[in-house]
Amino acid sequence: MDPVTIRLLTSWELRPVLFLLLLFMATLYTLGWQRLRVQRRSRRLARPWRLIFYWLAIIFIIVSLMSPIEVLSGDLFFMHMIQHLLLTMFAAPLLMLANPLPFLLWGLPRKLRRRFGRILSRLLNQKSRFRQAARSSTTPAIVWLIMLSTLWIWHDTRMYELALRREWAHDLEHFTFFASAALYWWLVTGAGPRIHKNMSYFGKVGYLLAGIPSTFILGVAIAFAASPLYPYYETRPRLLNLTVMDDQTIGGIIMWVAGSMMYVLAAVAVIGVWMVEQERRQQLRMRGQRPETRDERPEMEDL
Amino acid sequence: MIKKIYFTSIFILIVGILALLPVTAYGHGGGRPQLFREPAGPYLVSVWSLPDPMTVGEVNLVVLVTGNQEGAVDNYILDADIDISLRRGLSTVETRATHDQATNNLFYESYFDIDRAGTWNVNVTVNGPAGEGTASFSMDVLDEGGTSINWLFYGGIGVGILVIVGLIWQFMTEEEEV
Repeated sequence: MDPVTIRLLTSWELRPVLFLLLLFMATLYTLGWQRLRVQRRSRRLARPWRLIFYWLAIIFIIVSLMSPIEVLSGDLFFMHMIQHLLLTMFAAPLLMLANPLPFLLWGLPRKLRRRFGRILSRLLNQKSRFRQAARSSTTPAIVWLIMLSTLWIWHDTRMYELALRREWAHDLEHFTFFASAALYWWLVTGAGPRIHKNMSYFGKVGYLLAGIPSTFILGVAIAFAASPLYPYYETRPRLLNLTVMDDQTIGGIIMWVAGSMMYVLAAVAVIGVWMVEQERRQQLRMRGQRPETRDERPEMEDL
Repeated sequence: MIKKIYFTSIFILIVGILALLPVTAYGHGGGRPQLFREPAGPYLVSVWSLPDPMTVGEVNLVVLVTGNQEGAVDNYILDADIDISLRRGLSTVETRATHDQATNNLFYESYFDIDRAGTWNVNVTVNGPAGEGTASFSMDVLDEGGTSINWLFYGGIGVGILVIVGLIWQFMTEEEEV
């Protein structure tokens, strides 16, 4: 391996505080998962794949924020796109699939857990105004609009340049990307707190496909731009010997193809789960058993 | 009781924000370009400075050295000694930029203190396998205590937290009254 590649691959930005925080959250989740796993009532909630997904989400966050991807994202546009993709299309959905709320709660000491549980049940009970307000402000259409506008606004030349030149703006950019993606995937995965009506499989597929234009249109616009959109990169060294335009085109293609592909893959996965569910229901019916409805699921799953 | 709920809500929010913090943390700008592919003997030298704008206190210079070949593929010089000297009147700062201090290992970096505001003349001397070269520039250092926009950002987050907590509190107390 040539020395330049070795240097690049060993360029990690290790951040002890961030790393410890992630480790703390992962430990809390694992502890909660174990506690729920040993209880008969919540065994179905604490499935092994949830634990695996949570840890994978943590790993994706570490890779996107501490690995050479983060180090190079300041110099190469396409690396910045990969970083955003990892955060919004890998870390956020995996985190939501892991349904962190009940597990993090159960990871807490009993006293603290009960206190938080009381507050959450007061805030999120059916009659709560907070729940109603949260529910009406996070409808699928609003969340879709939030996600799309967040992505597009931050890719405006001035906003993107601001994020590259000012650390606080870059922080805000990552925060809003992740938060809007988490909101979007929260609705798709139905993770806790469940304050919305459960989206049908058909609705989920439609909602996922509706996500495609957000990355598709922007990715195409960036990939086919005739001139550099972000002058900042003209003041950076041309690492990997890519010109500013090559770098920009690759970044646009990543957003366009890989970004859109993730929605398609997620939609295919939902269709797969849907088919398996249909088959299971049919088998239950054939055996003369009634398949359970969502309302009959264990209470913890609705948290 | 309400006080208890109020402080617990704050705690929950802080934990919630901490849970999201990993994703927001530490965006890094590349700094202000001071030199970009400036010829220095057999090399091309690029230098960026942080913070931007530069203020009295700890500063960071980031240096990249490539071979001085026109039109050729960038040839990174990874085994040079980079000496930096800064002068302002009678004040002098001497420092060395190394890979060990750099985040990106293709670069050389140096962290050091500047104790006086004003215009500093900076010489970057590269001593590598192809020989020696020097590039120069001057940079303005401002007095400490200028407005830091980070405070606005974090202040904004603080105000946001208070507003959310206040709303939650209001929702909770309203429901208690019901």
